[in-house]
Amino acid sequence: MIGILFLLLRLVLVVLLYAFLLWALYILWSDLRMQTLALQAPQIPPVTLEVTNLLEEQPATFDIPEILIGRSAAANYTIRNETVSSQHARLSYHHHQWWVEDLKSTNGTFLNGERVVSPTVVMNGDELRCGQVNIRVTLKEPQKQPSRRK
Amino acid sequence: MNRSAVPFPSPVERVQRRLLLLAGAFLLVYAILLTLAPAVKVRGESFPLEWKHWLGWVIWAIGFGTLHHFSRRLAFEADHFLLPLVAILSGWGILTIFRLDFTLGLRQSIWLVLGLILVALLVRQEGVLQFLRQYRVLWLVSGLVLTGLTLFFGTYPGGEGPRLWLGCCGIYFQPSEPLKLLLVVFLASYLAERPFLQKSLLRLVLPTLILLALALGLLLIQRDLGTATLFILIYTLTLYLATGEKKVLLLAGAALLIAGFAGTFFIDVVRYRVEAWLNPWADPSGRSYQIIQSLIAIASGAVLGSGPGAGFPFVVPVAASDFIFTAIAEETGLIGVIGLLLVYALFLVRGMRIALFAGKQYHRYLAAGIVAYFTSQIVLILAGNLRVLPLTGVTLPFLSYGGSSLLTSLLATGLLYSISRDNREEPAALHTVGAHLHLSFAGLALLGGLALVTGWWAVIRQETLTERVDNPRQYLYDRYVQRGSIVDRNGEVLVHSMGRPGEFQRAWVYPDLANTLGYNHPLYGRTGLEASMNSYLRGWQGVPSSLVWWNRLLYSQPPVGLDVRLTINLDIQQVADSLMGEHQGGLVVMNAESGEILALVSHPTFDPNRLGEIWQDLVVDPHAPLVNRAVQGQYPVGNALAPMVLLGSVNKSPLPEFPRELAESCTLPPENASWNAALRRGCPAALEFLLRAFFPSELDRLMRSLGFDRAYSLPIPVAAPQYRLADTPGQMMQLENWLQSSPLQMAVAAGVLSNQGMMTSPWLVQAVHTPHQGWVVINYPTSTGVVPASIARQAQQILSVPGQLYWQTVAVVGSEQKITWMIGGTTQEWEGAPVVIAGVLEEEDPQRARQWLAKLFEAILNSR
Repeated sequence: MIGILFLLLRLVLVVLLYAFLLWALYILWSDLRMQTLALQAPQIPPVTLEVTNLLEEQPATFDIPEILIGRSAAANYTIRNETVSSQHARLSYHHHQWWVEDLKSTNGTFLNGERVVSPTVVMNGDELRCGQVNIRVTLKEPQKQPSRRK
Repeated sequence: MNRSAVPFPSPVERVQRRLLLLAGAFLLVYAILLTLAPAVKVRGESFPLEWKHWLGWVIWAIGFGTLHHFSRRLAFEADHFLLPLVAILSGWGILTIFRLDFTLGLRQSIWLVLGLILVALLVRQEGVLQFLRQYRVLWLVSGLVLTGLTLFFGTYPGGEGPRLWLGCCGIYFQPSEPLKLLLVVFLASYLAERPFLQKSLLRLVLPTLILLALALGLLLIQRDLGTATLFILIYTLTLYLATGEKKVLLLAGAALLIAGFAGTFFIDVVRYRVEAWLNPWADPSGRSYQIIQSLIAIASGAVLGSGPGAGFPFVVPVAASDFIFTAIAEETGLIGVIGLLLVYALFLVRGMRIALFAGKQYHRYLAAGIVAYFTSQIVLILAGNLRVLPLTGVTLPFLSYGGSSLLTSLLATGLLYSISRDNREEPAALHTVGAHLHLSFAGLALLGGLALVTGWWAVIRQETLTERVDNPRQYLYDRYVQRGSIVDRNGEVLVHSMGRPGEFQRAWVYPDLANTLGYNHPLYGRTGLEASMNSYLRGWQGVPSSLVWWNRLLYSQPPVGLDVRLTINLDIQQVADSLMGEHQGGLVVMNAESGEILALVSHPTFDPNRLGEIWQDLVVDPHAPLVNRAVQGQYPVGNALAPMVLLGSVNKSPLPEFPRELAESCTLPPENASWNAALRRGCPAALEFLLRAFFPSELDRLMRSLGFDRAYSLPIPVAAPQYRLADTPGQMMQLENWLQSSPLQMAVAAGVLSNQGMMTSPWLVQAVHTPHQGWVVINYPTSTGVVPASIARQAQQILSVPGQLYWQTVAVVGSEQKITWMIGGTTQEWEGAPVVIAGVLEEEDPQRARQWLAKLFEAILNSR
């Protein structure tokens, strides 16, 4: 009996070793793919912001490298809600990724329920919360264009 | 995914965490297997479990968990593969070392903790790389000074050996390990400062060459040749990566070849290593012992390996450091080795990527140099283990036992990590794309090649290697799995294995038969029936092949061995042995009809139960107790040939009246002058009278028909008779000169008289006890007719002993050293199976020989 148990565990061992390797290879491959895409499309992938828990705010799509979110009218994306500071948070595009950064807001900025303390990467479908306002972030795949640099 | 523990997860960090968890799970299962392995080895018959290595697992988990925690707060661009790759490698190493030796494992885990703390400090500090660069000469020189100190204060922690370590009180450090890293740092920062493309190469590298020569000089004096080779490789590869000049490679290759040749001729250590590499099979127990044991271990692992803890990797010397790869190959097999090499390949790829994306040239050279350092060290030691290159005593990074090595490897990884974190800028311009690509490709190709070589040893050469006599596992199996017993014809045990799995001991119940039974000893090899019947006794043969396969798969052991039954009758054997007592000689009792050997006596004999204590005396003993006199003894036959000659004579024509003149030369009293009396005592004159009628061609035919021109095949070593037909009648009369034979050979020939003119070949091993079919008879003997039954009857009557059921001839043979032959057999009147006896007493004592024959026949005839 113990021999069979041992044999099964040996097989599990091999499976785990190769799971480690295959997963690492998969990540390597998808990293490579992302980088190729980024090289192909050096411009900024458009980002769409949509408030989900207030009816009056309309979704907006941006293709600029910096988006200021706040209550002030000077912000790129203005949310009229008293829990949002006038200059609340900033989305910026660098290193081929979108980052969110809290601008010392009163009620804080949260990404997927976690408080944003330092610049953090934003992924497609992430939930951003400024004060009491939930914002869904939608990232578009960069449009495919002939690459300009190698 | 539960993110509560992670305040701001980046994708990079998620990858690192998941890989670390997978590595942890792999090592967890590895540790569970190590715990169960002792119970598996004894097939669950008892339940010994091993717990000590869990300490290593816990230390590993806490160490890398904490390091992961630290690295999470670092900038986002840091490489997320490095930490998991290093984690799985060092965890694998720690568990393997714990499995081999608890003390070494404990030491290694202390070094691991120390190394991880250093790495944590290193990666938290910004500007470490700059700091290293600023004082590069200082670093390298202090490294050299430390290495130089080993010339005066060097020690070897394990006792006698190369004095490459510094330290005291249980803590030892090998300064040549960090020196490698310091060399890389120095080269990288030096080369990064020089726009070398325009200047001549020589002027560029001259200062570094001087330092390299200094380091090499030190290492050569210390005879640390593996590290010296590594230094040349690291230097060359880093230079090549920085300059892209192919002539650097050519020059270094030529230099290494010349150094290798010079070393082979002038330095003994190098010559031994090279000889052991070129032809290891020439000296398998001496200089090439390590490499051959390494290959055997890899072959024992085969494809699936024995499973962690279930193999015998400790039979390879220095398994924990130089040969840890072998230990891993044995226990996880080819499949584990390929996984291990893939982990190293990933490490190489990530390291090269870090180099390519580095923001500064200095960083790039440093990263590429570290990759070159790891790759050449991995390839050098693995190629040594696999007999692709001569052995060099370098360590396998992250895996091998060795504090300095582990610490240096971890520090190098820490540097790589810092470089990967620091590339906020765009990558620096790359001048030598080709060099980087070539080296990455070469590294990957070499690792792939090593996997193929492992496959060669583990699959294609597997059987040849594991069946070698110097594979100690063959003897270790006998301790874990019951070996078959050897029993006599009535099932009385002669030798068996006693104890329980893990502690089986071979016990010779009847040691007087040692010459026939033989022994199976890891130091002195295998002899006798233990050797010839090994495949049955060990269970490789006679067992259904599915059972062999299943046992191999589950336990990496052969199945329980089969019992072997001999034709020996222990009662008769005991009588014969007690008669022979302290006298020297050999004797065979045989059933003349079936060929079954009933007793096989050879004195002096030895006690195989005490082989280890008495071996030295046995091999120099002038009485040659290791020779089986009954079947290997070469005794001059002389007048003992009387029964056979008589048989031939009677077959040719009826015997004439006993000539009167012979009575005198045979010293027979006139009233007792008869063929019977003359031939029973082996009178030479009577024999000569009979022989003359035969010479020459008929004598040759007679000898051949009685089998004196060939040896019989028995499962123990048998000596062929020394038979050469004499040229003249005068020579023919000197019987001892043309025929020397063993008692066995004489017994078979004498059997013709007792077995109605038929001759039967001898039979010693009767049957093996298979699991499904019970006793299966093997080796049937064959019978041939030599003379008609009536002739045999006439001959035995001429030799018969009055009032007894047997005939006999006792003859003293030899001129200087006299021996006494005794030959006898049952006569027609005996109604049981016909029995013959042939023996030699190495003394001149016909009276005693007659007594022995009488007592033996009494025992034999009454036993039935």
